[in-house]
Amino acid sequence: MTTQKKKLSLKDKYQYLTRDMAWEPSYQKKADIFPDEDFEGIKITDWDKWEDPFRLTMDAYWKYQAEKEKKLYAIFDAFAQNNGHQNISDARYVNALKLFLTGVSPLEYGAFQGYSRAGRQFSGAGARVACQMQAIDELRHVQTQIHAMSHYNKHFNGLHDFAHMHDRVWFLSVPKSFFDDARSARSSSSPPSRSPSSTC
Amino acid sequence: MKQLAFIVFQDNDNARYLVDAITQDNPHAEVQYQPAMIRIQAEKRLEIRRATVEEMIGREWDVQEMLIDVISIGGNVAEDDDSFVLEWKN
Repeated sequence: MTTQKKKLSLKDKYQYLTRDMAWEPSYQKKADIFPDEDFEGIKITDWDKWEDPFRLTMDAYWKYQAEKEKKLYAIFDAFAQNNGHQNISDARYVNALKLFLTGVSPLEYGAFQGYSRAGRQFSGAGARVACQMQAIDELRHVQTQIHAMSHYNKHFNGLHDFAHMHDRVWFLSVPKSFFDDARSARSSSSPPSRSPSSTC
Repeated sequence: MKQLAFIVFQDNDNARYLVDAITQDNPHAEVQYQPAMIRIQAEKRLEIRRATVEEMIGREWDVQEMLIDVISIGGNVAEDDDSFVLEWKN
């Protein structure tokens, strides 16, 4: 008697949840849907050959990250209930938090936006899903950081408007500038005017 | 220049068994115990095998379960049902 295999192999699961979720467009031309893909003149002959070595799929991502976050949020709760902010060993720690929240967290959000836009422009399902995975991971990072620091915001000044500060504080101009450039580079986020003959 | 493949875990109960399995399968690996985290590094290649982890942890174990305890990795990834390999190939 043969028994049915109860679990899909990682390889099969990856196939079902990437390639099999994509389809060939019929209402629009592929070039119109992915106008940036050939903008730089780079030719991709076969997108199917591109496979993410990290065979991550949405179901596994949420399952394990949710478990991880349950642990993290239990720590936030315990910290808040025990007034953890009153027990920090050095006041400068709060300043470090402010630097992190204004200097790093917005960059995680920038990375999320950048990967979302790049992924939107890939017609190959493998690279598109890899960008999606990276994008949601960056978004999760910025969320957990904001949630972690929101407790301090109840008790200390200077954490209330980090997005505003990210745009204005001089020492943040270098990381901010890098991510602004990376996100707005012509190849991944340009308007769909692709050639000199284009009329739009 | 040394090319180190590495993986970093949160220092918790799961990681203890992972570290035991990894050091058994990768005798050339170096284990560093740092505050709240454990870093394992090795020249070029590190392999985590499901069979060895299952033996150490005493139950069925899914390779992707490792995500719960991983902080960071270094090296190109090759992952399937039976192993997770980190490697620098050149």
